[in-house]
Amino acid sequence: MEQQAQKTAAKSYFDDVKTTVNSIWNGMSITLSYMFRRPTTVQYPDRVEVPVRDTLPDRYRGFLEVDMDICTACQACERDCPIDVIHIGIEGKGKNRVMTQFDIDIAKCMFCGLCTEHCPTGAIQHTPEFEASAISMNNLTMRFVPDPVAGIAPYKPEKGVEAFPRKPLGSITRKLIKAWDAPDPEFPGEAGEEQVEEVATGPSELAKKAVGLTDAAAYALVLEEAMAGTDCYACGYPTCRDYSEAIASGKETKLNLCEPGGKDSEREVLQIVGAKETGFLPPGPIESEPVVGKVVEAIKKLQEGGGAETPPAEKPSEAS
Amino acid sequence: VQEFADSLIQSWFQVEPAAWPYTQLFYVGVMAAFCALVFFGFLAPFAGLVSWMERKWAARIQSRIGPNRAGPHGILVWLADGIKLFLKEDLIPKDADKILYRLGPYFKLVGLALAFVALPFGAGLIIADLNIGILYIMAVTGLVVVGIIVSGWSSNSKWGLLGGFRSAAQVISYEIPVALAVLVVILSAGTLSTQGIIMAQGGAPWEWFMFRSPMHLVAFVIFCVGMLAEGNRTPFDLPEAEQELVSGFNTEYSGLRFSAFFLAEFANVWVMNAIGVLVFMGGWMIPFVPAETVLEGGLLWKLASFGVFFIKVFIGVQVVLWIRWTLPRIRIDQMMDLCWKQLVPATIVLIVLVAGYEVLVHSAPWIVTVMGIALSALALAMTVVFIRKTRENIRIVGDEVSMENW
Repeated sequence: MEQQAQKTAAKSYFDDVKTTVNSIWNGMSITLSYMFRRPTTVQYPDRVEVPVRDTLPDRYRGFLEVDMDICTACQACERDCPIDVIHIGIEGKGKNRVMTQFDIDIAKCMFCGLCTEHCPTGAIQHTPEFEASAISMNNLTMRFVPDPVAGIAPYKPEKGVEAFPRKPLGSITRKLIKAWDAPDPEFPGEAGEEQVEEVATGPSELAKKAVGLTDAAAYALVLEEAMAGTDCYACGYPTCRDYSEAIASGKETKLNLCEPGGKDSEREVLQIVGAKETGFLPPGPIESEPVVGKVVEAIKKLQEGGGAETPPAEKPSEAS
Repeated sequence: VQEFADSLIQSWFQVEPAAWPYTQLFYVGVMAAFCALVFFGFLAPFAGLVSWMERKWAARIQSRIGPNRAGPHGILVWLADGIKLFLKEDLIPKDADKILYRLGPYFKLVGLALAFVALPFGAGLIIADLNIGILYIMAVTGLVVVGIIVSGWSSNSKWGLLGGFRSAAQVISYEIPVALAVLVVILSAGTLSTQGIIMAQGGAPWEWFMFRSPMHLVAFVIFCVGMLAEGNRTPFDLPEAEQELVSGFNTEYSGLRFSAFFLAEFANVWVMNAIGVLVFMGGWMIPFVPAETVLEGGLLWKLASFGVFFIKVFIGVQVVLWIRWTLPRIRIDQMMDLCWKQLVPATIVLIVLVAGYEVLVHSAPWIVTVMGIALSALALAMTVVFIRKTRENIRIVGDEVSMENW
């Protein structure tokens, strides 16, 4: 028995060695074989043989696309959209109807495809486009009307026609996607502040224009620019133009009637009037009280009957 | 190098080296300079390239592509890694033993750097041809384990400590079969000097110690296994077993110290292959060219010998990487079992057999040539069989040989 046990021990020892060597031999061969095979990795996105969008199924729901040439302006898609992603602007009536806006906010779109189902001409469709990124979410709105002023006339399909001349699917959206990489649009608040600073550093452009004007109509036009331009009737005149003309002709002496414009409009008007009547251009910011005060004084003098006597001493250097 | 240092002394200080009191000091300085040159001029880039090759091997074996963006085929990725590690914060854990923690990586690097004192790169390209060269290399590479234990212990982390202890157990255990396997060759070579062992062999495969007898071949296999274990390479990478120990002894390290560990790990791949090549595979010997021609020849001969050595080591490095991505890690009890129950007894038997064989060779020298040719022919046949098997492995799953898609 003992001999047999020894035999089996020796046998198992050499069997183990054999198994080890054998498994290493086979394993190394298999791993080496992978060295000479093509890796299955697809080097997306820049080293693919065919663009991935060309390999997608036909009914893939990528970014939406509208072919404005065959859009009938029926607004069915706008109504169908459950989350108000589509905005269509239509102006004019009858033959003059034009679409001034066709925006799709892709940031909100949930790719449900409802808009494409009721489109009578197939103008709005999902494209296979899906690769895009934007620095700013504001850029994610696709605007399919390039020129809102000119607008786009709605398409009138002929009776009984079932096929429509659609542009190749994806060609329009692809161009729009390229614009997504544009830098962030400036934040409105920041941009506004900068503008105020620019105006504030010297005599306003409008005041410069008003110096030496003799034509009352031109003077009124300059004044109108200082108004808010809302034709709100708060001043008692039907339009901003009427109020401006009243000031220009001297009928109206109150310069602070523009309510929507508020203080800004008032100061601007003061400056213009001051510049027109006295030739005075304030050197500093119009916000600062001394400057406004000087202008007001000059105008008061004028109204009290100082006439055309322009005090030559009033030069910018004094005001500072 | 000694001659070179002597000539330097003569030209710089205008004194006779033998009569100059600072000669020995100057030797040490020159040696240190050479060591630094080898380490940073050759070994650091080599370690970087090996790390790139390792990732490429891993990727191809797993049907991936691996690094391919930095430089052609991603060959510069190691520079990017190095710069990244350079810029990382060098963090020291709160309760770590700060002095030892800082020293740990350098113990490991020093252990490797010391090995290069006696490790040849080619004919005459050796910092110091010690007469106990191979013994010295075996001894100083044991210093690596000090670095591992120190860093594992001092980082005050479970993972680090466990990794360090495992490494201590492993490296000390596997020193024995490796040393005994080298002893087999020493019996045949009759010298401990690294250059002596190389010159006892020939350039052609049948003159290598590997193919001197079947016993030598087995000793070579045992040496390879032991070296893998000593270098903490898979399937013996227990000290840094990711699944159990996060990263083992270097868990807490970051930044430059971490990169020092990596440099040491990949430099170690060179060291272990270089030892294997010089002991078993003929070192820098150029086939069919006697050693004297190379030794007395000009710079071109020396460079050729370096080329031969480099190619052999390079192939060995590839095999080490290839093994890493083939074999799974074994358990710690299996590892100890393999060392003490299988390899150590086997090497002791081999030493006895080789001692007898060398007596036989002494009376009938032709046996060596016959054995060498027979065994190298066998190895060639096995290689052919292996390549055919690999092609069959590709064909059998309906794939084909393709080197596309890098």
